Amino acid sequence: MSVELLFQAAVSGFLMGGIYALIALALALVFGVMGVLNFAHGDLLMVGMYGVVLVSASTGLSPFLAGLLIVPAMMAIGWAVFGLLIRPIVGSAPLVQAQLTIGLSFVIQSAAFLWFGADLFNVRTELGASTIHLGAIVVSVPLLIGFVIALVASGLLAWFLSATVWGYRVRATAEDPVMAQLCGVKVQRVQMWVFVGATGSLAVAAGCLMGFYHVTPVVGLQFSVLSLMIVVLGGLGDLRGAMVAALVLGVAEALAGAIFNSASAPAGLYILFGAVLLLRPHGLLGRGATV
Amino acid sequence: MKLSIESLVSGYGLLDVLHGVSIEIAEGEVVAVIGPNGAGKSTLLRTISGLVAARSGAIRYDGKEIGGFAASEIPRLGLVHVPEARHVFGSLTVEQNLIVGASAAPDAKDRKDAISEVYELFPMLSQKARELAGGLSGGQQQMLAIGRALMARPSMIMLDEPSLGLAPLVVEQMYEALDGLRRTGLTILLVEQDVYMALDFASRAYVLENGTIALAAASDVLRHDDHVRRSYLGI
Repeated sequence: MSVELLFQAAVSGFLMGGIYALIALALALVFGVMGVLNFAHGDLLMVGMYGVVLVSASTGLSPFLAGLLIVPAMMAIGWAVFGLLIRPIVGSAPLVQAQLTIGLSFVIQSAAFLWFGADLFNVRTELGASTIHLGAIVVSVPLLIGFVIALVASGLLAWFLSATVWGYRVRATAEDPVMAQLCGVKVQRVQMWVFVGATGSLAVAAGCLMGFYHVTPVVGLQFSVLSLMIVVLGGLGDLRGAMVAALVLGVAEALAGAIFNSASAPAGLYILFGAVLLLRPHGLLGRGATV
Repeated sequence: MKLSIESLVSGYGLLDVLHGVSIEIAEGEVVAVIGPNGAGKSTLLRTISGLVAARSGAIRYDGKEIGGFAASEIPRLGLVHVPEARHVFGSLTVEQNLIVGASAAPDAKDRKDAISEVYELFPMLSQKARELAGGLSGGQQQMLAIGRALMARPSMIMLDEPSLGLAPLVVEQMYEALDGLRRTGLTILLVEQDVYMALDFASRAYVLENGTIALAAASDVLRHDDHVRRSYLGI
């Protein structure tokens, strides 16, 4: 095993981590603002990935553009899911929330099996196999584009939260919803828009992934588990921590895959996850709630 | 009447905390509610501001029934509640706290004017504008909580235990600021465990005991009332 190969894996893992970050930020924001840990998060992403496949196939657009194009549709799905399923369980016991969102995850998965079957779908593009060389490192172009788009989207989210009046209201709602109400913030509306926005951002992430990845009805579970790990590692409710955790997990996953084999990569993640929980129960940056 | 409450019953779960409370406050008046812990003082304010549902009775503000209004609607009417323990948004800066306070009056130009007025009233807040509210001292947080409430451009403000846990000098500064607000014609309903302070500041007071109004009179009268002297002033 050469150092170059490890470095190569680390760079790819870092780029992948940037896309994980966008996916996990959406989950963290929903958890922070309405206290619901959405186990169907990855399945909503999976819906977006199929959406990207359909739009790309019928229009010939690149998956990245297709992802942007389906943002409104995904927001509409988010709106419906929030109104029908999430709003009624805001403030309920965690077990009730888990049961409902895990149930939703199964329903979405089964629907995908019915609709698309178990076959693996991907989007063929001219960019697909292209690479660029940075010194000795070879970087896949679609992965790089996906990383950049995800980074821009995460940056926009960070800007929204830290520099706009609406962002202040979202953060105030996350910190103290009762006080936010006394300030005149319509908390239920904030929660709805956060869920709608988070689901919309999954469309962007889906576009980033479909540049080089594939979709099957079961990828949702994989991404749900991954983003839950990222959110917990970052410290529940700590968005900056989630960002760092996503990059760390991306690199760890790629390194484990390079050193052992790709089948054992998830094992590397869980070992890292367990170790961090033992050593830093408040998250990597130590600012989140206790798990 | 600015605020008139009639036979108000409210509480939590199976328990009624207020058993038919009636209170009236005129425009521009400063009125205190005093009473022992657990008498229902905070519940009274939380019911008025829509955090706790009234079970029966009437709450009229500017002649309009507001029982059943959502808590986020009440500040839009010009009635704001500064809850006990301040509840500043610790992860937001001082200025961001103030901006969230203006959610009920979302005109951007108005907001700028309101911020400069708050900074004029509490110059300390303008020095700390970009600092996180969680890092402020208790007294500074109380000033911020009041300043944030003023951002809604209220005509009436309800303060729950504003002096709780503050150093005497800070309490004095805060009441000076509140006195300035009183002179602008702001109607104030004050819940206060410091009965000396409350009777000094308010022109009238209600004594709330076990969820009912035990006594209501001008502050001067209450200061010489035997029951109040024994139970609350320790004389």
